[in-house]
Amino acid sequence: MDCKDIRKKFSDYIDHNVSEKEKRDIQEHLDICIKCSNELEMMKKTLEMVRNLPALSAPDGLTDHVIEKIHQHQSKKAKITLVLSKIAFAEIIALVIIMGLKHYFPEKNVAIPVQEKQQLIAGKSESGETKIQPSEIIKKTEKKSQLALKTQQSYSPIQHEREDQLITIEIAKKSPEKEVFVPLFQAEKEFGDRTTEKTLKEEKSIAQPLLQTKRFVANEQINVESEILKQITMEEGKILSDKEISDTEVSRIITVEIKKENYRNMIEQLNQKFEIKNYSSIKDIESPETSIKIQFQIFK
Amino acid sequence: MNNKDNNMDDEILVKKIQRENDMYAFEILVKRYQEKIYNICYRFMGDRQEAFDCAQDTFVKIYENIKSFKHLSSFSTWSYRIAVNTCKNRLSSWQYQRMKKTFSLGEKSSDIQNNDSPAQNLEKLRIQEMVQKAIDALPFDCKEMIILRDIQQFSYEEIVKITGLPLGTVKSKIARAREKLKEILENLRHGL
Repeated sequence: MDCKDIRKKFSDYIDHNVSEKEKRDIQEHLDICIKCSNELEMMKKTLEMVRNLPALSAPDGLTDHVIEKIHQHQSKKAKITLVLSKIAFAEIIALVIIMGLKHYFPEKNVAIPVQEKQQLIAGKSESGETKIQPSEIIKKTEKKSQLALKTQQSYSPIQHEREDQLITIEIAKKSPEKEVFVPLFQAEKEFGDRTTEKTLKEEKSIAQPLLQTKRFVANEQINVESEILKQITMEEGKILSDKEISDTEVSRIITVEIKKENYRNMIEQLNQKFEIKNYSSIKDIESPETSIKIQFQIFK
Repeated sequence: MNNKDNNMDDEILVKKIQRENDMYAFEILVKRYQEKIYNICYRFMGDRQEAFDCAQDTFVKIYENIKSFKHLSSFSTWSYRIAVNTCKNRLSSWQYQRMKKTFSLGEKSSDIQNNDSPAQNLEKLRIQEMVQKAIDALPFDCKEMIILRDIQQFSYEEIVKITGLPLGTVKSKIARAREKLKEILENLRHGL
């Protein structure tokens, strides 16, 4: 192992996460390489400084503030519920009045004047617009009445139950190249990017020079399926079905149920590991339920 | 609230909140975790007021979501994850970015209470400020690893549970984060 390989193992070496053989190799190298030996000492000193940072005591009154804030939230919610129930009550009263009026004053067929009927059938040919055929008018009227029927149905309490919305997320099994952001100095050291001395000096002179970032490309091979299953468990989701398919473009379909509030975090976490195509943002999810169903389609 | 309640397991307290909406049980949990969560938030934010707000938001989120907690992980892991995500959201919010541009958040963090001389205390304070400055300069994922592993000293397995990342990724991220922190500190020391 050369210096670069040895230095990569420093972190694991400090945490005793290396095998006996690796430990021997590192120690043998350190005996003969002063540079690496110094680097390791620097790393140990850095971590010592970090570990010596004092633990702060929690500010007085944090618990009281939390409890107060929760009470505030609860009373806000209660107020909203009260307002909503008032609105619902007003709606019911309005509906009762409308139904009553309809009962006492049944709708009559409105006669269309003959001239208007003829105009409708003839269309506005003089003005150059498309003629509407009588049959189309009939079709349109039918459509209109169907729509009216549908609208009525949607307000009927029997039809109130909505269909479960299934969100589909497509994932390519072969993990694509991913852009990672690293501080400029690091990028330069690791990936040999050429940056002029002038730029470096300029960056050093600003308050936080290492916040400057440079793009590079990393290609990590990730087991997409196991990452998804792991993340679902983390987000306390439920696996509804898990099917492997051999003869289509899609190799596996995993259907899960997850709390709506955990959806965003799950997507963010998965997006850090691999690219997810065509997923819905939380705003697009219309389901009124607290849980949502998601189907992961993993492409070959 | 009596001593018997104070010694109850997290799991029992959580179930009491889930079943009976028991605010006393929740208060015990807040008192039990407030220091740890406040410290995590402080190291992410580098500012006491911001840390206070984030810790407060974390507990409110915990309370609001506790009914959906299904005991698949420990309560502590779950609450630390909420704290990390709260800080992450706050750091990336446009209000925070704008505020950061307007003025520096750096401040003295120390609670030094010992028998050292004033000169020794001053030196300790200087080092602590420098380390916090270096942590502030790290990108979020590196900061997350340093705070969880080297400041809060969580095990690798605990970090896997908190972040939801695979063990291999956690190991390599920790190694990279430490290397970056070392470089930043070297630069800060040369600059001083």
